[in-house]
Amino acid sequence: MVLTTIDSITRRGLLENSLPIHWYFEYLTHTCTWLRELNIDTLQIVNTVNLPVGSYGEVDFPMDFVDEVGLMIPINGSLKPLPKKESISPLRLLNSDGGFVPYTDLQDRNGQTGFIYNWQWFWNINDYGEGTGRAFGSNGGSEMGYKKVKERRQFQLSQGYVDSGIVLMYISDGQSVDAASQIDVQAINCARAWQDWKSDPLQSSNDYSPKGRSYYNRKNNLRSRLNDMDLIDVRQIIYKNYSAAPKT
Amino acid sequence: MATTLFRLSEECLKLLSGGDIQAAKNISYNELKISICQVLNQLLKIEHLSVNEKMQEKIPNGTVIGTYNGLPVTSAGTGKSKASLPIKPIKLPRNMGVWAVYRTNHSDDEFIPMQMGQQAMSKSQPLLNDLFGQISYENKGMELRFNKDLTLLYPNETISCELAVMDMSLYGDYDPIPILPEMEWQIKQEVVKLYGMEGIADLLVDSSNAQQQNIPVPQQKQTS
Repeated sequence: MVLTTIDSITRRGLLENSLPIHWYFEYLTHTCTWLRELNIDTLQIVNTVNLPVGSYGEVDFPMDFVDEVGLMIPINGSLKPLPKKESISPLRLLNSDGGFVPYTDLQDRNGQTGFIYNWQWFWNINDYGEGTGRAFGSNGGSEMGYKKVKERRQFQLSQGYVDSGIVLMYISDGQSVDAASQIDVQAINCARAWQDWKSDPLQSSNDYSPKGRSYYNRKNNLRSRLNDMDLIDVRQIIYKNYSAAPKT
Repeated sequence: MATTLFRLSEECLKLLSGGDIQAAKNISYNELKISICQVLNQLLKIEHLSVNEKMQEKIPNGTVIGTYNGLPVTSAGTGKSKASLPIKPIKLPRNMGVWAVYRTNHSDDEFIPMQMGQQAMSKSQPLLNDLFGQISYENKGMELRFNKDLTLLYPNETISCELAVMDMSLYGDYDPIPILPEMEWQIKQEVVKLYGMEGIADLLVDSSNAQQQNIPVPQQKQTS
């Protein structure tokens, strides 16, 4: 796949506008700003990283983290997503040395109300340990979960997570070298429009200036270019939602 | 045919001498050569600001560029370095007087110029502060200050500078000088105007010379 870089877009802007290298830093600044803004809603450069899980179930945010696509457990080449769990406390326990320690299971369970989970399995087996059926109310999903604790710049996993690492797919702010070197080539024109707009002191602060409108037009073009919905996908949705049945 | 410094100064001196260049004179060739360079630098700046800028042209085409190779770099504090400019270039917008700086023999790998103070300000910006590993410089006075220690990155290497300036030390008397042909007349006019107030040197009349006979004293010429 052909990708382009911030540096390449910046130098192209200088070439197209017949500017010498003395304008490089200004254009580079504008292009980095453009990348940050476009990452949030259009380009959405998704990075995937394997992060270490700490002793009390904490996972540090990457430096360029904006928003998570998902926190996932790697299982045999696939990723099993963890659900969010808002009941996890953002507060941490300290030991006598001032270090952070995990909550114990006992303290965790004491907070539960209602039926203790798994109770039904003890009632619905016979003397030989065989299931006797009638196990109602059991549901799927995961007991594990995570909570994003922004003030700590960490994810907190629920107690009992046993692996030493976890996979995070996240949207970058584009202010990392990875993001800056993986820009879709369809976005070059949009970046150029931003550069021209922001480097014009008479128009740079006005969304409705000619150069501002030009940028938003290019951005609309970019969004349509990046939209990967095509005829095959539309057909597949239709096919999958109709079922044939023999007429009786 | 390109002109030379000596030719221009000779042309000027001839005008200032009222015809023939005298053996004894108040104005020397070297003095005139310095003035020619001064006038030329002024003309180059006016040319850029009054012609190029009005046409929205930012690249100062036609500017005389002095290239200085083998300039040494010294370490300056932690992870920084600096070098001295051999001459102060003309002042153009965005400090374009310092036209290009690069490692000697790497002219297509220019360092990134930054305006005064931008290196420090960009420290807070994650993607900008290292310029993707590129080397930047700020020009302060006669110094270039680099964002990296070039003595560690490229030990035993020197840098080259291309400066927008007419520096007479780069040209001998008979070297062609890279000036625009339409400027030659302007240079002569300005230099002659500058020295026009200077009087002609005292006349040394050789009364034995037949050419001086019957000619009023103020109009007599020096004998060569």
